[in-house]
Amino acid sequence: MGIFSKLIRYGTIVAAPAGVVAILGIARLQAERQMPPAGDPPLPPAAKPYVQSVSATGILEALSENVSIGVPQAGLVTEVKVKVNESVKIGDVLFRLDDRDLRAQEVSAKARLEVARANIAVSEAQLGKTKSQLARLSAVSDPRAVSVEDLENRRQDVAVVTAQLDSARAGVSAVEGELKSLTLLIDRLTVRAPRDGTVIQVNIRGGEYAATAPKEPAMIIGETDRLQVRADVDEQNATRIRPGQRGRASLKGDPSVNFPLDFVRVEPYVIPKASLTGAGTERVDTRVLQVIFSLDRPENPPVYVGQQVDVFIEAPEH
Amino acid sequence: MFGLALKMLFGDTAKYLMLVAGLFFATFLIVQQASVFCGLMMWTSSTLKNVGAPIFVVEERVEQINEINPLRDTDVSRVRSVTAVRWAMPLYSGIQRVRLESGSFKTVQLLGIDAASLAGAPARMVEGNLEDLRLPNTVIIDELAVTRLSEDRNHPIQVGDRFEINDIEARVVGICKAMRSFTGGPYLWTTYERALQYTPPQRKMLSAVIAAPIDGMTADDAAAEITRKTGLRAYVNRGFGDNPGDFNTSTIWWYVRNTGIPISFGTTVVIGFIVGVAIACQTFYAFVLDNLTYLGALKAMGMSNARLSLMLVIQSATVGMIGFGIGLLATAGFAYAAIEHQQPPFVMPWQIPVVAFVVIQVICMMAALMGIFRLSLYEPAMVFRA
Amino acid sequence: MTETHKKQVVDVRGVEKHFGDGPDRIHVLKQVNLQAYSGEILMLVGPSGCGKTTLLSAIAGTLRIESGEIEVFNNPLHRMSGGALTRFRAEHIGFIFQQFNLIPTLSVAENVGVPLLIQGVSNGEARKRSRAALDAVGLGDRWRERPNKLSGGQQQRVAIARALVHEPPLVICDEPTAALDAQNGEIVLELFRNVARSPDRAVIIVTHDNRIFSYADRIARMDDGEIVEERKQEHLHAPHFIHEHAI
Repeated sequence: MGIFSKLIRYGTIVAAPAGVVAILGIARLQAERQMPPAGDPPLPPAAKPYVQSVSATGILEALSENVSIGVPQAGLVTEVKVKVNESVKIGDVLFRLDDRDLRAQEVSAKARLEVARANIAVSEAQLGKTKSQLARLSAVSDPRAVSVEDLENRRQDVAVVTAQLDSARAGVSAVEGELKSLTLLIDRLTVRAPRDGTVIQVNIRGGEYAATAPKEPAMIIGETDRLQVRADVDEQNATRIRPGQRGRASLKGDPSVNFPLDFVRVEPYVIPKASLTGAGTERVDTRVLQVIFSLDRPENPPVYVGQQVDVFIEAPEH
Repeated sequence: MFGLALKMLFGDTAKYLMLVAGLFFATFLIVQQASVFCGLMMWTSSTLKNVGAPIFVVEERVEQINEINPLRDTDVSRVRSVTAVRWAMPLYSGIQRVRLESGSFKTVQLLGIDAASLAGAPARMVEGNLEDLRLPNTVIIDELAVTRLSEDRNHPIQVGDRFEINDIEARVVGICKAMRSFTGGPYLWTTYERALQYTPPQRKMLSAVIAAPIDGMTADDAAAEITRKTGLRAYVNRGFGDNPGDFNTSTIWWYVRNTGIPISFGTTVVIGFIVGVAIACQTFYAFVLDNLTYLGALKAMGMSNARLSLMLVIQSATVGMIGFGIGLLATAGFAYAAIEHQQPPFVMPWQIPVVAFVVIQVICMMAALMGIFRLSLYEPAMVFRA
Repeated sequence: MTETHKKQVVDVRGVEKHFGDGPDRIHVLKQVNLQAYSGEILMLVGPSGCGKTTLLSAIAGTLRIESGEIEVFNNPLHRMSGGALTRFRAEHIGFIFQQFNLIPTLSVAENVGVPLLIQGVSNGEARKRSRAALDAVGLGDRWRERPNKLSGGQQQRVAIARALVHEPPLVICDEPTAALDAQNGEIVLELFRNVARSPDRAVIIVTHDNRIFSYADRIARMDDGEIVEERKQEHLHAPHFIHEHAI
């Protein structure tokens, strides 16, 4: 048997098990290269708080909704008295609009008041004068010395002047009224807090022109100690929602932060879905039922009005 | 007896070599072709492998992952509302074009995943940090993208490099390992919201909802529950098998039904199989015929038919095993190159070598049977007639 | 070696055999009767196609007969099953084929050991005994080689070693000298004589080579399926190979 034959014989006998070993190696290599089986995401989403629940996306709002502060009339803003995040009491000045035209009217009204008051003094003086003349003539008892006609003239003079005094007094009252109305108008240009709360947003600064129908409100004031969540429930799940159901919300982006919700109300009107995911390309082809929940503002970590939350509402499945 | 059979087999180097070569060729054809076919079919469902989620929820009539009818955004909440679901996240999957700094365009498979949980994120990072995906305008690319999107070999694309997807900047923050897609485009991961920005607006953008079953419930039960509650189609994602509710299975069968690829490729596999069988059978039968006079002499000298048959069986089984082993060796070489270069596709489930082994042994037994039959017709007295 | 030591070991009585079908049917064996005795060489001679090889096959148990009886060492072959016949062949018959039929892929020693392996003897034992058998035919130093490396005569001797290695009582031999020159023929025939000398053993040779007739103790001449002549040869002196030129 030649070298060649031996080579073939033993070569093949060695190669065969080598092939089996090699293919096992390939199987192993293949298994290593394979994607791992489906599992949980890198940051495991929070466990659902309830066994049976309706899920919704929601947005945090101040309780009783946020108050968008309006402007009484279009005008220049002269002064903004509050900053964002400042808490305000009812009646606190928020900002002032330009009131110089009214103030000018006030100045002229005041001048007219002086004139009116002077008129009263003039009338009073004249009244004194006519009254003393009348008294002098009345004191003469000799009928020959004073004619009856004269006496009657003096009496009428007194009546005229008295009426003139009344007129002057009325003139003062009129100007005073005008002044009061001006003060009210000026005061109207000072915007005050309609309720207790926190300034959430300020969209206006001194020197800017405030329009009466702006794209965004001049200022937003809301109750931030207690917040509310406006949850959008897909209309297909709307039938599962009942008043009084509990809810739990977690912050979008941080499922570890979650807090209990108290049911407030269901908005009776189903609206087209508002852009909640923030994508400009999002289309509203779905209508959603809005459910309002309130919650205490958690201390830590801070949450903010306007943040998106994932909401679970405890609701039995049909 | 055993030794005698083997000595007769190994003694004739030329015939032995021919036998082994025939069986080697048959084995290689069967295993290699079948594995390449499996690999190609697996490529069709690579998105399912790269997005590791137990359940995929898609529109009711969707049958495969590469052809998606998008859902509405609120469907994520609807799926989440099903009791059987532990978590559910949105997924965008679509083919987009990337413009490189050089100005050339490349097609990529863009995946958008939930930014908070990163559900569906690449499982194997090579470089970079997964969490960086939350930074503005960032993407994670796969290793194929490194070669596809690079200027040239000397300047591979790296973490920190930029390109544009539909005129919006994308910055690479990570490189990962991913399975190749059927369309050949590399995989790019970004967050769901950003994927929508990268994609030209359409009415509906949500490709699928990925979900997981609650503890103590199988994915299959949860998927059935989701389908029942939402009217959407929920598939499980385990891997190709006999379960029609598995998205892999559904995807691959869709390709079988709707494209010519499996048929044409399957034909090659079948032809390889037939050629292999023919070669193996023919060579072994020729071997038996060549040895017929000697076997006849053994029969005349008092060797029983049973022992002669056993000898033939031993010979054919031996030659079958050796040919099979060498065939595997050659396949392993091919497979190593294919797996290293991710091209051509190569996926070898354990069934392929096992079936090939059985097939080769059956071929050999058939050949041996033919030999045994031929030998039984051979009267020992014929030895006396030259 | 006297007549009294000789036992009848093969007894063929009234054997009939046909080959083929219909009009092509050939009557190969017609009421053949033949006996062979231990310690003897029996030669079956006759022209080609006379049926001598067929008769040999029947005696060797490789061919079924249609009627008649064959007894070999008290084994009634005509009544035995296929399996029993196979066992009978393995134990009682040493075969030497015309073409030798040595397996080319085995070494000489391995070829010789085949009958032992068939009997179920262990490999080591078989190797030892086959080497001894090769020594006996004068090829002890060639045991390693392949048969096709040997000359025709050497191959024939290997075939004889193979036929004798398991010490069968009956050696069957088909045209042993057909491929041999005179010198080798003589060596081979001497070997047969030595085999046949042991008292419990018989050798049957089929041949039409008249050069070797002198080695036979008994000659049965066949023609057209019948034994036409049977005679016993007394060896007054040692037999010799009749060289071609002597005729």
